This record gives sequence, C-alpha cells and structure tokens, in this order.
Amino acid sequence: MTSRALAELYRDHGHAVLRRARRLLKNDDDARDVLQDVFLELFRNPQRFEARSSIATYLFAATTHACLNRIRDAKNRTRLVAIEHAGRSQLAPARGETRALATEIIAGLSEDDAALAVYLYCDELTHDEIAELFGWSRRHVGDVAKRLRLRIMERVA
Amino acid sequence: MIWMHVSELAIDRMLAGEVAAADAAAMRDHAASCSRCSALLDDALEVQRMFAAHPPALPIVMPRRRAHVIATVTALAAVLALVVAWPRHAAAPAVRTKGTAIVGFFVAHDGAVRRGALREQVMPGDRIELVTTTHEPTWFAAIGDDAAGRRSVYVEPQRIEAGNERVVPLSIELDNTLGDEVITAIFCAERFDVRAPPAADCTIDRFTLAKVRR
Repeated sequence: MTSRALAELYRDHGHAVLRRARRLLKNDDDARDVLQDVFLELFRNPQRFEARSSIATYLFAATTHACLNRIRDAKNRTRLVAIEHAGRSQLAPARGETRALATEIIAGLSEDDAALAVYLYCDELTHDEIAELFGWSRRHVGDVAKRLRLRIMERVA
Repeated sequence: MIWMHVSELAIDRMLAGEVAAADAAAMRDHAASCSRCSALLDDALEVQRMFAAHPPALPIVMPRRRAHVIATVTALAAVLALVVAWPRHAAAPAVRTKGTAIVGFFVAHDGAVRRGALREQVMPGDRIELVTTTHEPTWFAAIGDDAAGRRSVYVEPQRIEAGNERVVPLSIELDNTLGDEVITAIFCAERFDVRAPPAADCTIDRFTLAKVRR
C-alpha cells in the first residue's frame, strides 16, 4: 500500500475509527492512539484488508481488537468498554453488574471471544453482521455465541 | 428491508458508501423516528465533519493535497473569484433540481455549528462546509454566485467517492457581500471544466444562502 492510498483511506474512514475507539475506551487520548495504531497496522500489513471486501467492516473489527488489547493492559482495565450497555443485556444478573466484573470477564476471554462479547452485548450486532466481521458463517456465529454465553455465565456464577 | 435499530457498523458502512441507496434511505427513515438511532447517526456525522476539518496527524509521510482542497478559504471570493463562461441562472431555484447526487451543508457561526437548510440565513464571517451524497464515485465541483453578480469557484472539479454526507475537505468563509448567494454543486461522471456549461448528463444541485448583516 502506498502512503497516498493510506492517506486516502485515513481521510475517508479515519473518523469511523476514531469514533468507535472513543466509544469503547471513553478516553480521547487513547482513542487517538488506537486511530494511529489501526492505520499504521494497515500500512504495514495491507494484505489483512485486501483480503476483505469492505473497508468499513475491516476497520470496525480492527478497531475493536485494538481497543480490547488496550483494555487488557492492566493500566487501562478500569476504563472499559461501554459496560453500561452490558448492564441492560442478558449477561446482567438480577442485582446488577458492576463495571469491574464486566471488565474482568472481558479481560479473561480470548481475543476473539472478547470481541464477540462486545459485538453481541455492547453493539447488539446481528449474527449476520458478526459473521461478516469474523469471516464466519452465520451458523458458526450462533454456535460460538452459545458457548460464549455459557462461559460467561460460569464466570459470573 | 425493514430496519430495527441501526448499528454502529451499519452507520459506518453507510458513510463508506457500502450500503445500497434503498437501504440507506430506510436507515435514515428509521433514524428520523428513533431517538437512539438518530443520536448515533448525528454523532457519526459530527465526528466525520470534525475529522475532515481537523484530522489528527498520522505519523506517516502523507502526500500533499492540492492547495485549493485543503485551504480554509478566507476571503474566498477575493482569492478564488473566477468569472466563468457559462451563464448564470437568472432566478436560481432554491430546491434541488434533478439527479441522484445532492449537496448539503453545515454553517459554523460564532463557534456553533448547525445543519443548513434551503435558503439558510447566514452572516459575513460564517463558514460553510459542504457534504455530498452520491451513489457512485463521481466528479464534483461547487461554485457560488453572490448578490453582486460575482461568481466564485469554491471547489475545483475533484473526484469524490460514493457515500452519504461525505464532508468536502474545505470550508468557505463568507465575505461581506450581503444578499442571496446561490451555491451550485455540479456532479458529472467524467472530469469536466467548471468554467464551461455542464454537460446534459451532469447532475446539478443548488441551495441559497441569504446573507444578512451581522
């Protein structure tokens, strides 16, 4: 990828990366770091995008992963992900869920599972959308989502 | 397609021009009656606008953009005013004329930004930011005809990508000429000469700014 091509992608799609990173991290400085990380990664490894048809989908997934990696950093664990959304989700025990608990749950999952949890319970994406983000079949998304829910419920219990 | 709520991913895809026009329209219709989705969409458009105006630096050597694209056009009428050959419309309509490509705008006035409407009242010193909505990549230019009869080329012909409300990376700072100024957006499939009459298959869209004293 040439720097010109990257510049055009950055100009046209950087706003989406910045907005998502802000939403997940709740911190403008961290979001700007993620913005740079995502586009530098794209510059270094353009084949990761070139294999996919949608730049918006690629950047959405790449930003989510970049944010989750940042959240896993111990310094940033308390800044987690729009957990207020999880409080409304099926994950929430009847007496309410604390931000810290949700943080620990996310931090304890594999990278893909953590991203899946965010897509399901924070973003409330459809299985079709999630299938496209991961490059999975819709059926596989359903199966993985069921297993993820069990895993999370075990941790909550 | 019936949209329930509009996801953040769906909005990203819409702004990237990856959603079919009918689906994009359905999403907007839904957002118009749903506060949750409306807030998401408004936020996305606001971030897109701010990013276009002030993109954070990326630590890679970027190619320089052409000056007329990146410049904030202070006293633009004086700097870029160009008399073009094709005739003005004697009475420019304040409604969209034809085609599937449209232009919209935001007005920055004393630190506040608002979405512009047809025949928006503006003041000298306000800044106008254009947004385009097209279903496919196209060539785009914008000119202004002010009340004093001057024509200014605000955006030289440039290729733009398909998408909804894509921000044109420049702002127009309005000069002191009061009265109506008609902004004309020209969309053509091929590169064109903004100083010549547009081809018949080009799409023209206009809006009027009613400039009043501050």
